[in-house]
Amino acid sequence: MSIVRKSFLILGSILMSALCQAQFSIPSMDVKLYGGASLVEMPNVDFEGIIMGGEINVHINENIAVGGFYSRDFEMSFLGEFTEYDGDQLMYGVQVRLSTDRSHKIRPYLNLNYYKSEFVIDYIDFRTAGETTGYGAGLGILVRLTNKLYLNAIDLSIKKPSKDLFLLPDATYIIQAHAGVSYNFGRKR
Amino acid sequence: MRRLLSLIIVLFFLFSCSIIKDDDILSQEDFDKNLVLEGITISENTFGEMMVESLASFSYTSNGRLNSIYWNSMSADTDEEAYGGRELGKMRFNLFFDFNAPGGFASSRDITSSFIYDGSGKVVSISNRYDNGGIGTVLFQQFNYTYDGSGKLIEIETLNNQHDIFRKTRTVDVLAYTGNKITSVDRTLEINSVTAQQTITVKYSSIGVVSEIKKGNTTSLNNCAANVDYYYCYFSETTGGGGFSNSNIIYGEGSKPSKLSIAEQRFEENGTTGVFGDQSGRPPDHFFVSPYIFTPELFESGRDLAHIFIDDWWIKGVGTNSMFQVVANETVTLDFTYTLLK
Repeated sequence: MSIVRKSFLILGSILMSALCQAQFSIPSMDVKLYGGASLVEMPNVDFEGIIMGGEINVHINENIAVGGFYSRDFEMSFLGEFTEYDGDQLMYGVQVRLSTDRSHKIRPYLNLNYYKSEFVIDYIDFRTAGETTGYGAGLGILVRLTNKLYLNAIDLSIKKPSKDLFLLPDATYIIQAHAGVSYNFGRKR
Repeated sequence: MRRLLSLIIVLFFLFSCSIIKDDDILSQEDFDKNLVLEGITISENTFGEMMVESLASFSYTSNGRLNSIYWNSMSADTDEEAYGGRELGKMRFNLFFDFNAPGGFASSRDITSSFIYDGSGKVVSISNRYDNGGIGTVLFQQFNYTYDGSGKLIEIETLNNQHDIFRKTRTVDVLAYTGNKITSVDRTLEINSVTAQQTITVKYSSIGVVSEIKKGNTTSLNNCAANVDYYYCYFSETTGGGGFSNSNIIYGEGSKPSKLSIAEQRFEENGTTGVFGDQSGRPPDHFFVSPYIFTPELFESGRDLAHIFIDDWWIKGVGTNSMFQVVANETVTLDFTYTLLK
């Protein structure tokens, strides 16, 4: 296991322990679970499929939240001109969310993020893989269902890879759309 | 709620592990180094059965040079020694060609192949002589190769039976590259003083390997009427693509081809009829197939097939006579399969 993964696990354990032992000190935050579609935009070929993921956002105030996100492919394919192969995609990163205040039933938001993503194409006899980081932005709409529960009706985002991947040649953007539910914790902000 | 939160956080970090495995290929260089052509199949063949299958076996010297080729029941004739000596004294063989005789031949025909190399070891000429022990007509074929200053193959001239006015043909292929990959071949056919132009395009997959070879339409007509008794001729193609072979290259130890099998038929425009056979009406058992072009990258230091260009004619036989009839236009794609050396 790499040092980075160990660090993540240690950090996660500490954070989990702190949060669980002092729930009342938890700042206002929300947890989102979602499903959607992802497309790596390339000429002639596509890397596309269904993704599932989650977010945790800590509310700085009523309009600004920062957090992290994580998504994995549920079903991903690399579609060549004449062939199709299974693929995998992992993406995680940090984000800033700017939204309207809670008084509105419908809360539009803007999302700015920095991400790391890994891609794998399974050619049956062998696999090709690559990873990249990059910046992205997105727009979304939250619909208030109850005081704590929101429906994330739509979230559209576009992410720019920072480097070329030989397995995904000339990839320009990663376009994602998803929908899900968001649950709020802690004191309201 | 506390448990739910804990669970979510645990899952978050648990699944943050990388999906890339240790033996995944992470670069084009690594991919190219280990790539081996496994086979070629026809992916859009909707009619016709394979009429002929030819099989060639290759042997190599210890330093990787081509030592001999055996095609069906044919064997090299007494000139083999001269050929072998010339080859052994030069560079490794880096171009391979189909040795079907220009104009068809009996299965027992002997083949003599002579190779001429330039100072850098590149093949500049291959001459083939097809002789059936004094029976029938001796056929000749010669390939001339031109390279640019960087050693890239840019032109191939194919001369068939220049001694025989009824059988002589000339084909000039001008190869165009993008980087080191052949992307198109402009072909000029000269048959009985009639010239036709044709463009063959080669496409590559996203990972840089050949994914499609397609032959375009010819710009003018050629017919085979003058040569029907030798069952050797070119046919017109006025619409649609067409022309392909079913090829299966089997790689032996060291990733050099140990066998090459070719099965071929002819494709023609819908409604086209003609004669294709010898004077006795016997269905042809071999057909002319233009050279397989394996560019010099093919056998370079562990790297396997980088480029391949295939051109041939697709033949549809009708019964046991020598007539053929094509039932439909068809676009054909050769589908290439690759694997990696383990």
